Amino acid sequence: MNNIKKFVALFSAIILSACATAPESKDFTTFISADPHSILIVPVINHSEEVEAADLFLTTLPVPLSEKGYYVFPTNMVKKIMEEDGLGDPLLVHSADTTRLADLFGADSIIYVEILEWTNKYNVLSAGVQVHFLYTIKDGHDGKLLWQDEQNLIVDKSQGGSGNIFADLIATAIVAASDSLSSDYTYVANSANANAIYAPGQGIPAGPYSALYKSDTKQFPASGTGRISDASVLATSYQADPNVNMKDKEEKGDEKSEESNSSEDSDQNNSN
Amino acid sequence: MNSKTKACCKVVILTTLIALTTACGGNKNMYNWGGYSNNLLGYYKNMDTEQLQKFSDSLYEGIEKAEVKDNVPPGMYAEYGYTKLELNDANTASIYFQKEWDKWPESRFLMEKVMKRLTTMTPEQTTPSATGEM
Repeated sequence: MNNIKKFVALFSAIILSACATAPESKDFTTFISADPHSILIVPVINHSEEVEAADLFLTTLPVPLSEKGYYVFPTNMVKKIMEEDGLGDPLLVHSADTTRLADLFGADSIIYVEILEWTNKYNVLSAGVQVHFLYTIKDGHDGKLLWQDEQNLIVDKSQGGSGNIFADLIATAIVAASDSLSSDYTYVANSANANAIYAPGQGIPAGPYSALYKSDTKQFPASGTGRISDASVLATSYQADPNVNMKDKEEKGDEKSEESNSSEDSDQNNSN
Repeated sequence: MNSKTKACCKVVILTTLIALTTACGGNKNMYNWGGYSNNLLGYYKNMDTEQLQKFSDSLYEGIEKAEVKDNVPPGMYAEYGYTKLELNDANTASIYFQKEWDKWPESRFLMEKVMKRLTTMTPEQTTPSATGEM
């Protein structure tokens, strides 16, 4: 019995530390004062070679964000509207001016996700996938960074196993060969999203539709440390000067209209 | 350790693991999603009219079920409305854009924009591409 007690004590200590000794909390001062009620999900940038990953990742984002208490814009409708509006290219969207993009939809904030890595790792005994995602939320009203999180994990796809090494070997081979991206994809993306969005001190505070709205300040403190991000890489939505890109697009649009106007504009024709 | 102790330990580990998962994550959902993510994923894998129709039907079923307990997720009415618009049913589309407007104040700006487009269009123009340009 003594053994069990020791074991329980040790195990609970491990559990407590697993829950409690998270990395230093982020600073939620900016997020809390911005108090976004709605989040716009924009197309995901995919830097990996898994071509389907971007669209598939997109489908996993609305649920955790809505369940956190935010109004999340209709994801497919937004995607289609953006495509019709010449904003189908994720790179362009991420480099565009946040406030102008948010204005198109009336959004309080925008979430940008980038898939930095998505690599299937296959060896004789296991099939896993190495993923690396970057999440960025920016204020739709002034473009400020509100929150950023990086998830870098290896997910084991061959959980379980029969205990018979030969049977497992075959099973692993089958798993790796027949694996459609989507089946494990959802599991992997959901795990990463949950880590990113829900982790106390690291995720995002509860939104206005949550029962925890404004009462989770202990988990998501306005600590004033200025540590809004834990990312080791720069987001595309940050690398580019957002205004430059949107201005380019604007100017192109203006040029076009000027061109079409100039043919009708007799003054201009005369001066030529 | 005898076998009894071992069995005890296993139970302890199992229960603590369950406690851990419930404590650290696993919240009960606020909304009834009706398989939304998977259905959208199915559509994205094969974006033809048949799959669009299937996705649209799944949204309708989801909404019907969720309305019983008043837990329709944000965006769902509009999402369904947009699929109807793509399937050339502008009337149903407007009804659901209006529902989204009624339920979610955050959606009003976008819903008004889309509905305004719909009302100024002739029936032949009610294609998604015509509403897409904003």
